[in-house]
Formats: sequence, C-alpha cells, structure tokens
Amino acid sequence: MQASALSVSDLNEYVRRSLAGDPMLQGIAVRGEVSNFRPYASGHWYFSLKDENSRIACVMFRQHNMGLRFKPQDGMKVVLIGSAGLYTVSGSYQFYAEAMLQDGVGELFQRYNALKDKLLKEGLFDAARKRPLPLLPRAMGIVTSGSGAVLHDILTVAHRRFANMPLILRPAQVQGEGAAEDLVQALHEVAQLDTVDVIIIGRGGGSIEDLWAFNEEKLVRAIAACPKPVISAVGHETDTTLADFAADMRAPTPSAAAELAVPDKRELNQRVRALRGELHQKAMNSLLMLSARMQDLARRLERFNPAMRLQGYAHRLAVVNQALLSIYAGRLREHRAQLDALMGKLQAMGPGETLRRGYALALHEGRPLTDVSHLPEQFTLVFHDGRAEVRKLSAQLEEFK
Amino acid sequence: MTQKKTDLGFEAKLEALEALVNQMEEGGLPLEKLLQAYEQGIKISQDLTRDLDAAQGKLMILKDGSLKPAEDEDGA
Repeated sequence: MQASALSVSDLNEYVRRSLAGDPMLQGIAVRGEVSNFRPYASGHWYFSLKDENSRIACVMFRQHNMGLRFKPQDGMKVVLIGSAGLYTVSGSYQFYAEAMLQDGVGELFQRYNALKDKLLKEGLFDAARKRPLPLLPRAMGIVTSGSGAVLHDILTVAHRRFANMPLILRPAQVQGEGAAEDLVQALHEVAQLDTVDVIIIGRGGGSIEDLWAFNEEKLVRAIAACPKPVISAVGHETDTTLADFAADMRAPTPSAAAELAVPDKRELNQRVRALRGELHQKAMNSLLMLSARMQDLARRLERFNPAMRLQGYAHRLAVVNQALLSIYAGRLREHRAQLDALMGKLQAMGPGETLRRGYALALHEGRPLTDVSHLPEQFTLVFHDGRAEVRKLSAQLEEFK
Repeated sequence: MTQKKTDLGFEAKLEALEALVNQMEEGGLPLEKLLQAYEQGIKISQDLTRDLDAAQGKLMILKDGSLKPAEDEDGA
C-alpha cells in the first residue's frame, strides 16, 4: 500500500495533465470581474476573476499582456481567453489568460446606471434638495467604520479646526452583506440626536464591490431623506457612488469632509472680533455726526430761539455726552483722546457756558430780542446765574464788525 | 430679532450682528436707536464668543441607542 502511494508532485502533475488534456478547458473564453489585480515587477499580472458566487485565480504573463491597450482595474468586467490548469508548485487551480477583452459595461455598472437614472428622474439628486451646511454645528455625527483611517482622518481635522467640537460616532458596517441596512440604521440614529447639526457618512477606498453598499437604493434614499445635512466621503476621489449624489455635499476625502463640516474656530473668533470693532467704530462715528449736528443747531438757536428750547437742546447734548460716555465704557480705549476733546467741546457749547462768558440773553414776553430798533420799554435780561427785569433808558443803532 | 435670542443659532446671531452693524451707518440712526443697536450688538458679540467656547469637545460613541465617551481620547 505504502509502496503505491503517490508523491505530491506526481499527483499534481497528474491533475495538471488531465486538465491540460481536457479540450473543454483549453482555448476558452470566460467572463467575470477583475479583482485583487496585482501587476508584478516581472511584468506578469496576477488577479482574480469573479462573478457573484465564485472566483478563480488568474495569471497573465508578460508576453501576453504586453500588447494590451488598457490596464485592468479591480471591478472591471472582462472576458479572458486562455485555459484553465493547475500550477503544480502550489497545487492551485488557475486560469492562464492569453488575451483579455473589456466586457462593455460591467453588470454592477449597469445596475448602478439604471438606479441612477431612476433616482435622477425622481429628482432625488436635484440641486434644490441640497441643504446648506451649518456654519457652526452644535455637534457633528459620524457614520463610518469604528476603526481605520477614515475615522482617524476625520477626528484629526476636526480637532485641529475646532478642538472643542462635540463629535458623535455611530460605528457601522461599511461593506459586505447587511452593510447598507446597518448604514441606514446608523444614519437614522445619529440624525435623531437633537444637537447633531451635520453628519459625515463614508468609508475608505476599495473595489466597486467594497463600495457597493453606498450604491444601494435604501441607503441612497435614506441619505436624501435625512433630516440633517449629510456630507459623503466614500472611497477615493475618483470613485463616485450614488450616495455622493444624494448627499448635500460630497467630499473627495474624509479629511475634506471634516473641513467642510467643522468650522475653523480661530476664523470665527476673528469674524466676531472684527464685527465688534466695526460696531464700536460706527457707533463712534454716528455720535460724532450727531454731536456735530447738535453743535450747529445750538449755534443757530443761540441767535434765534428762546431760552426754553435752548435748554431742550442742552439736554439732548447732555444725552449725547452720556452716550459717548457709555461707548467709552465699552472699552473703546483707542478713541480716548478723541472722546475727551469732544466732551470738552460739548460742555463748552451749553448755553450756560456762553452766558458765563459775559453774554446775556434779552427776552421780551418769552421771545428773544435781536435788534435794538424794536426794543420795548421793559424787558428781561437772562444771565448765567439769574435774570433781571430792566427798563430802557436810551437806544441807538450801531454797526459791529 | 430681539425675541427668543437664546434660541437663535450661532449663524443667525452672527447675521443679526452683521445687520446691526450695517444698519448703523454714520448718522443714519436717531440717538436712542443707535444706543440700543450698540448695546444689543455688544451683547450678541459676547454671546457669539461664549458659543464658541461653550461646546465640550469630546468623542462620544453611539452604541445600542446610548451615548458613551470613547475609550481612547483622539488617537483612532
């Protein structure tokens, strides 16, 4: 029994020969999708060809692939021509491809396109549906794998831009069976949290199959229907999924998504500071304009109007004064000198100050007397500290230059 | 604009402040309105600065419907 045992090499060689001798396995065409494509430095290509249920290891030697006009990529649907055989060294069954043709549009792409057309017609991707992102979210929701580079990148950028931004992660399955369902559920849970004002949903790069959950109708619809704005960051920049079309904003990378969702705190602080500065400045300027107008009015009143109204304006001047003081209290240090000068001027303008300078106001029946030719027999002189009833002794016209 | 100020989001407050500043064109407002606008503006700007620092920046994990702080700070 032992004497008749085969060596491994003998067995593998036997299987190789049987396969090689089977005309059904020689010079055949096989259709499938390229995956795990690995071009070696030797020029040989190694990859898998697969359909929804099965896969086969493939090799395409340099002499066969040299003349090929396209470079295969994972997810590409192709037809291979060659033969199936056994690689005796590892005992592995594989396909030796001698030619490769692109098989039009792959089946997944067909499904993708059909769904895209349908949703497009429904208006699910309309620009009008897109919601603006909040300037400052109260919290950011993150739906992605709980481990890996995507989360790390988002956290790093968020921290750099706004260190105290609240972040809420709902870890989700991002590929494989049930991924779309879990993503839908995760999105729903995060969107329900009141403070979450923006949500990033995404995953890292991968083959079209890896990204497929993001092309599934239920997830695409859930993103479009999400009550909070959603930013998608799926795969690499060159991968576009239907989730990207449905999202309010599409980011080329997870880092870019975080840049979109999280504002730069320093920038916001600067904006607030600039507005406060402008507020001070404009309030100051307005008050200066008002006081200039008051001064002008007061000057005219001194010539034409009764003392009562003079006092009214003096009161309003005091209000302006007060206002200037309150602005001053608003820590407008840089304007201190300007303010001091202005307040001095305002005080000098009150009627009391004018009277104190040696002027007197002549009134008759409450109206100011402005010319000597109409001077009554008896009138009132108003001084800064009181008034006197006086009688006219004599009057004559005189020119003042 | 003055009612329910606490309910306004950061963005709405920032816009309100911008509107106040724009409204305050030189000499355009009567004195009382000017002072009102100024005081309101200062208040909003203080609010805004407070808003920026109010948040408690932490990573929380949502699992089985409840929120828990992440085990590791930052990192992954």
